[in-house]
Amino acid sequence: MNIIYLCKIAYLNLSDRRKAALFSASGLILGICIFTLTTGLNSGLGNIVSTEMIKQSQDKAIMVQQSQNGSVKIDQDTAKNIGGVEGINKIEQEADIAGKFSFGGATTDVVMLAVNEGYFDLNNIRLPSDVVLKKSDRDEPQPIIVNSGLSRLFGFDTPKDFLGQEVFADILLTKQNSRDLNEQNVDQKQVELGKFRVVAVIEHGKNPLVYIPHQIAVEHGLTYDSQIWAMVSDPSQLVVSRIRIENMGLKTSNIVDSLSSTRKIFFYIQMVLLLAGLTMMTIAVISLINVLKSDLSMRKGEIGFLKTIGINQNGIGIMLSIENIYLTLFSALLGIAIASAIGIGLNAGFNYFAIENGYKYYPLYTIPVQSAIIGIVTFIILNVILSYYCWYKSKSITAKEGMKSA
Amino acid sequence: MDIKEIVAHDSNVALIETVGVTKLFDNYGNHITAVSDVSIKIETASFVAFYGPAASGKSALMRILTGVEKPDIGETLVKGEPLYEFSEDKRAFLRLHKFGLLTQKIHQLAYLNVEENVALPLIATGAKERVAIESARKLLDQLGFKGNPKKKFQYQNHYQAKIALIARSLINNPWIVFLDEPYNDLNNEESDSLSKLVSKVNLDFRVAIVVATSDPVYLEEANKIYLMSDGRLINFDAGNSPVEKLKAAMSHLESVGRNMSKENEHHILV
Repeated sequence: MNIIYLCKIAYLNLSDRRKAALFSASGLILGICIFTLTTGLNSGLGNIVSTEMIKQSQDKAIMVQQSQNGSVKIDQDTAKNIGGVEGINKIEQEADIAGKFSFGGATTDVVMLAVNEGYFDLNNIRLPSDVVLKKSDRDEPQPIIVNSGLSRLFGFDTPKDFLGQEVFADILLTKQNSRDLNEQNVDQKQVELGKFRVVAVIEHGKNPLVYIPHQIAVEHGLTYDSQIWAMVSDPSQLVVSRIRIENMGLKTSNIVDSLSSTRKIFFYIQMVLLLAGLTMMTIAVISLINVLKSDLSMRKGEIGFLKTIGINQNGIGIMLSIENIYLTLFSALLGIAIASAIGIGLNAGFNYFAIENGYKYYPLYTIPVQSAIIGIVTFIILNVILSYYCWYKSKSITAKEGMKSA
Repeated sequence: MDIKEIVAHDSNVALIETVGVTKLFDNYGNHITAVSDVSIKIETASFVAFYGPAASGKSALMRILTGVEKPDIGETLVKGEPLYEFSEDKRAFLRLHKFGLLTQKIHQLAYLNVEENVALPLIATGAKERVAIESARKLLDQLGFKGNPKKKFQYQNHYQAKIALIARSLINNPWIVFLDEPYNDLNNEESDSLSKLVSKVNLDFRVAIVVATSDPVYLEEANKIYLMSDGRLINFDAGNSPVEKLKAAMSHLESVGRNMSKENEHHILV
């Protein structure tokens, strides 16, 4: 019997038993739906996190920190040397210092970041176009940038109201960031930086945060930076440049390191989900085999009849295999369709709230390639198992069944 | 000889021959003899009837003759070749190409309509569906099918359904058509018509007919009648008229201590 005709009668048979077929496939539909939805959401979330990480840093930036044991620290000479490494075209210095911030008679402890203006671009922090965080040579308050967390702390619920205010800042020098204190063996020293004027209030972080020009901190005794961002002009030079910097005794890292570990975490989650999905589908297949078993025993007359009129075992086996392919294909498509509908719905809801709150559109639900490949392979294996099972079972049904009178 | 050669072989050898076939069934440890030491010959284009009461072994013998059930003892030959030395698939090939079957129960594919069911064996031989359906329609017309061939079997009356099943058994131009209790579920008028149709098929299609029946009324057309009782076969000289045949059958059954059914007694009295 030709294959096209077998496909036709397999289809007619299944559509004749629509309800029974749907019932048989329900476990599989549910399994595929949950599998697709969870892996799709996990993949989408993973992509969002990775995108955000790449956006917040730079894939061309090498983060340089002092050596593990602290023997090589980042002073101004080291910074200059890093800047001179082949392949590095720019550096951004960053010193994280404890400090005090005073306004209107009130004082609070804050974390101060002594940075240059390039730091903001690097960290994807947008500043108003006319704002420059650089030491002014004129006799006027120096520029200072604060975050909205700090402005709220001082009672400014509307951040822009804090703009232009004159404030005072001190930094706390320690042995870790000052060579002088190290040499004098003094644990810490509070240094007044003088008067500042708030030039920008940024939405970045919840805890109070203050940004001061790096040069001012250096002039007041800061010797060692916490870290340096070394920018490479060509990403392909990144590894070589990192090795050169590490040869100076310093520790380096790159966003790719964090990205790969984040991706690894999401990959492990994906694997767990795949395993759970496969387990679920195995259970669904076992129940499907049970349903097929009773289905085949109910179809003894039909199969026996086909053998009676002379259809051979091959023809019957192929017909049953085609029915299984239809059933599993239908289950897969329906499961994926339901999962996609839910995923798209969740995506729409998520993005609605995200955009309402000023964030960009992110695709929350994406079907990952490896899941699709695993799905296809599972589909093939499943059909081989089911076809073999039906073949084996139908072989035991003889033509005699088709000659029975009842 | 290969099964394909047998199918293509046109010789004067008996179509089907059994030599001392016996079939036993196990019934909870007790052996029941369904067919006992049966030796028969079915010639090309002959009309053979197996007549006997229910459970006399007719259906079991039909299954043996059609290659569906292997006998425990004895040999079944098709065109002189031992049928059961061929594999199940090869016997299926023979049934598909050269045997037609009408079983007691109306077996068909419920999801196909009448003409598709009739065409099914022809499609199974590799014919194109369109061609097979066309042949099925012609055959149904030729046999006087009055139902709607586009509708499924469930919408046909029993008589029309039986005609369709005969058409299906003839679609591949078989050597022989086996009919197991073809007159069941029919009224007298329909049974008479079907009996005439079977006889017509025998003559017009030059196809051998083997009927298993417990109704003696429809033995008239047969040119060889085997009486079956308790799995045994008694070949008797049936005489010329159906009444003579019936009387011979009756007297034999009485001689072996078996009675005909009340219904059949009525037929005999008429």
